[in-house]
Amino acid sequence: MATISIEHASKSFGSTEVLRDISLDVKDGEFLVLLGSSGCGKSTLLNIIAGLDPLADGTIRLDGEVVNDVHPKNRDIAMVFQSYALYPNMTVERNIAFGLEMRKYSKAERKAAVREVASLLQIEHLLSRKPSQLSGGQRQRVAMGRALVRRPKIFLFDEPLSNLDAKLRGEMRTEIKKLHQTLKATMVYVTHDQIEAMTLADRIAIMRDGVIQQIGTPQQIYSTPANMYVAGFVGAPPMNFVEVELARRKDQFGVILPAVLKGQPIEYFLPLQETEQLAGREGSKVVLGLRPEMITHNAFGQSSAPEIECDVELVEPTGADTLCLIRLAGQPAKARVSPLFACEPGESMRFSIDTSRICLFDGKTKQLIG
Amino acid sequence: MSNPRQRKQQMSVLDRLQRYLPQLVVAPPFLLLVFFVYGFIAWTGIISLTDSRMLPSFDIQGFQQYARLFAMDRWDVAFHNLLIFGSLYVLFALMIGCLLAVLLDQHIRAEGALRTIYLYPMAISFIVTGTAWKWILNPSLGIESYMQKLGWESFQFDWIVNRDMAIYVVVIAAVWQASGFVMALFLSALRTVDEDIIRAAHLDGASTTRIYIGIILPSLRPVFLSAFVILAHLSIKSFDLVVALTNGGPGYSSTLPANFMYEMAFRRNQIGLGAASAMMMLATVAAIIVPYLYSELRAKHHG
Amino acid sequence: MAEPKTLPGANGKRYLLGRVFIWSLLLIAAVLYLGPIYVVLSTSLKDLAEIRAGALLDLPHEMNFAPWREAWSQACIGVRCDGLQPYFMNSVIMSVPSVVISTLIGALSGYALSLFHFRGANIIFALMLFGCFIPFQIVILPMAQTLGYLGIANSITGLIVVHTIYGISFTTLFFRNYYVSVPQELVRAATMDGAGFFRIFWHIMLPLALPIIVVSVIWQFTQVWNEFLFGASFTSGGSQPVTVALNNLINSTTSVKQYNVDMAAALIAAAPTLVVYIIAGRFFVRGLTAGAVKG
Ligand SMILES: Nc1ncnc2c1ncn2[C@@H]1O[C@H](COP(=O)(O)OP(=O)(O)O)[C@@H](O)[C@H]1O
Ligand SMILES: [Mg+2]
Repeated sequence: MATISIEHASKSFGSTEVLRDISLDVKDGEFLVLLGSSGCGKSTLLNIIAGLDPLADGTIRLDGEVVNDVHPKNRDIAMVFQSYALYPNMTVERNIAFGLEMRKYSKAERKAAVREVASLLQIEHLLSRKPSQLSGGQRQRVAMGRALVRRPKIFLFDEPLSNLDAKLRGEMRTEIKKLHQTLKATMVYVTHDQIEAMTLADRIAIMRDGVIQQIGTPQQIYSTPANMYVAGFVGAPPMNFVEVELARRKDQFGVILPAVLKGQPIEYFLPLQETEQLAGREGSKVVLGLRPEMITHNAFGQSSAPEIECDVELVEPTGADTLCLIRLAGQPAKARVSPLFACEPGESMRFSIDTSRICLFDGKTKQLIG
Repeated sequence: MSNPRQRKQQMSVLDRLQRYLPQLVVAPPFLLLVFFVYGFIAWTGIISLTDSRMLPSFDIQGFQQYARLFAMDRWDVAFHNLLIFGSLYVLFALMIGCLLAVLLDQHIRAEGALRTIYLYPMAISFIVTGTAWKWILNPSLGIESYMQKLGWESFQFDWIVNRDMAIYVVVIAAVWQASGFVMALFLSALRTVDEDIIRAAHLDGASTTRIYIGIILPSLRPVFLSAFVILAHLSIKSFDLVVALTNGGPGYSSTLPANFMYEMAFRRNQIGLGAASAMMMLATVAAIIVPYLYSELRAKHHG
Repeated sequence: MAEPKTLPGANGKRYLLGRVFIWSLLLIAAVLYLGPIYVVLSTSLKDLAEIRAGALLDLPHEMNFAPWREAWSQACIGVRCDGLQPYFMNSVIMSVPSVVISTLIGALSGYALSLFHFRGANIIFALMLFGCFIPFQIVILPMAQTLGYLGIANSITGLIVVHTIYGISFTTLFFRNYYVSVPQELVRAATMDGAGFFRIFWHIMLPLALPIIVVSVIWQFTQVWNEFLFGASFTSGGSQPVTVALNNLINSTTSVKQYNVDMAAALIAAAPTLVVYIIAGRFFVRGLTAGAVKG
């Protein structure tokens, strides 16, 4: 059993509020990812869980027990740091064993524990080296080993992969995921990389300026983002935001979508489900959230989805898909089409719009309204 | 592996103490310095307000020692010498040090050896430096007579025994001793200059000289400032070099305030006057150091 | 710096002229820097007759080590005539503890200071730092009295105490500036591993600071060994350090001036710091710029 429960946590450094009234529950064995851009307070929150920063306000419980005043070493938590923080003067073996040494384990016990972890991470051949003689990926493994060797009930990761190159990052991501499945330990993982978050997380908590914006499974975060910030942060290329007007045509509720065809402005009508929240708001402006994959080619006209035709300004092939840059309501927007159907830049093309997955946001509050 | 439940009960006192250990560790040396620096400054400050002569008395009389001090020709000479010595010493050490650093930065093969040669005077005590230069510059057997014997009959270099010039001899020896240190400061700063900036400037068609004058040296402003502060405060503290080189002479023509203070306090039983002159030295140093420390620590705090 | 030679199309002749110019300036400077030590060394090996002949810059006719022997063990300083040797030993006895103790204290307090994050921490640091810059004239009067109270006036112990105290400002500065550049995550990692303040210091921070330990030791050693004011103010007779004894020897007016002995004595007094410098000066400059005078 290892649960974390944070209630109304706040933290300031001097006059800057870094965390504001954070409440968060991590279930036993869960892989929770804290996702947010740099400086939003992720590391601070992690340090508070670890006990490295004292909490100004609020409570933090581990397994239901309040631990606000418990020293980090007594929380049974291990942490992997962004810079790895390996002890430069010690060999890899001693780096890994240092936590056990401080806890007065015997030499034999330490040796056995280190050997076990080293074989798990495939770093046996590095044990006698100093950190300065290791590559980035190897250092990363050693840092993981140092956390694993103590068999803590909770693991904290602070952007552990951000210093690796793209290929290695992908590999380590898979290994961390495997590790979680083997150990079944509770893990809190901080990153600013949304792909890392989506692939690793059981649940994601998205933070901004010290406030949690939304907590949910990767799928929930992706398909029903709580607000425009979350919607824009998750997904690549990001969601297109188009300012449109709610309207009713022939008894059908929907939005008016201005586009450009052959250099001339043109207006399309997209029918939408009329929810309670939207009813009676015809004529008011809302922000339409369209992910690129919701604007796609309609090759054989099989789909019954509404269609628009408009000019394509730029074409960006990415391999599997091709992105077409179009202009909706005066704003650039990206559509994701199959390379087979992509047109040349400057030509016009027909797109079908998947209205069932559309998000609508209030232009002022930026919150999801439908 | 560990059993945190049990430990949680024990943690309190020791772990709470851990949190304040940095403060507890700094406290003794800090208090030591408060006593031996600030306490002693206060002591000297108070003595400077008394008429202490051979033994300190704490009978405060006001600023009469300062009045005496400013009326003394000897102090006048010492302070005037400090102005000459300080400005020339700082200026020449900075210029020579900076020039040597730039020259050494030109991929000189023997850089290591040359650096050691420029730097070694820094390891030597002022007493030894003074002794060496005193010997070289003595008119009867030194460089002057050597040149004359070589056939350059009119060669004259008798500054060391010349009232008007003796202080400049101190400048020469002091610059000789310090410029290598300045060179080292600048050289290591030059090594941290981003090479890409230099490559970009080369591509823009700038000559090496232009790159140094226009880009690199201006970017070393913090080093100029550090070097200036170090040299300036060293010049105010200068004492031993004068003792060994000219012993303040001829007469008292080459004394510096530090020598004045020593003379008054230890030779003439004028403790009050010595304290007053020490306070003047401190004020001069503080005028340079306090703004520097203030700006440095502020900048670091916000940076 | 991109080497001009490697740029294609550079003017070869101008480049060569530039190199000649640079090299001549550097060599002139080298001669000027080496000049004094050459004169001192060659004078110390000449006999008095040769010196009086006035050939200052000439090499000695023959190597004559008698002045060195005399300076080391026979020259008269004050009333004693056993040379610089006892004073040299005084300086050794004075330097070693002052250097070791002040470096250790500086390492510990510099590390602790680097952990200060509260408001006002900078003021504490600035107050300690100011001790590096004070003219020591401001403290010699009260210090003379204090040493008297403590019963260590006119003793090497007294000088050790003085040098240790005023060395702390420097050593603390060195270590503090080094430790603030060490990533905080290292301390955090060690805390998670269960190490407390002293164990982090001993197992991790102190070994990490090796370059700064070198700086601190070299700096303190040259400062303490070369120091004159405290030695001249607080000691007399047999407990004087070598700098004070050297000055007395050179300014003694009792006998015929033996320039060669004076110069040998000067070299003997300068030898320890020179040796340290030539061996480890590189590390000193490197470490100093790594931490202390970052600007
Ligand atoms: N020790 C500190 N003192 C002052 N400000 C800090 C400190 N640590 C972090 N901050 C500030 O708190 C904010 C959040 O920092 P952090 O938690 O490290 O962000 P993240 O990990 O999300 O990038 C940043 O604006 C940072 O400048
Ligand atoms: Mg962070």
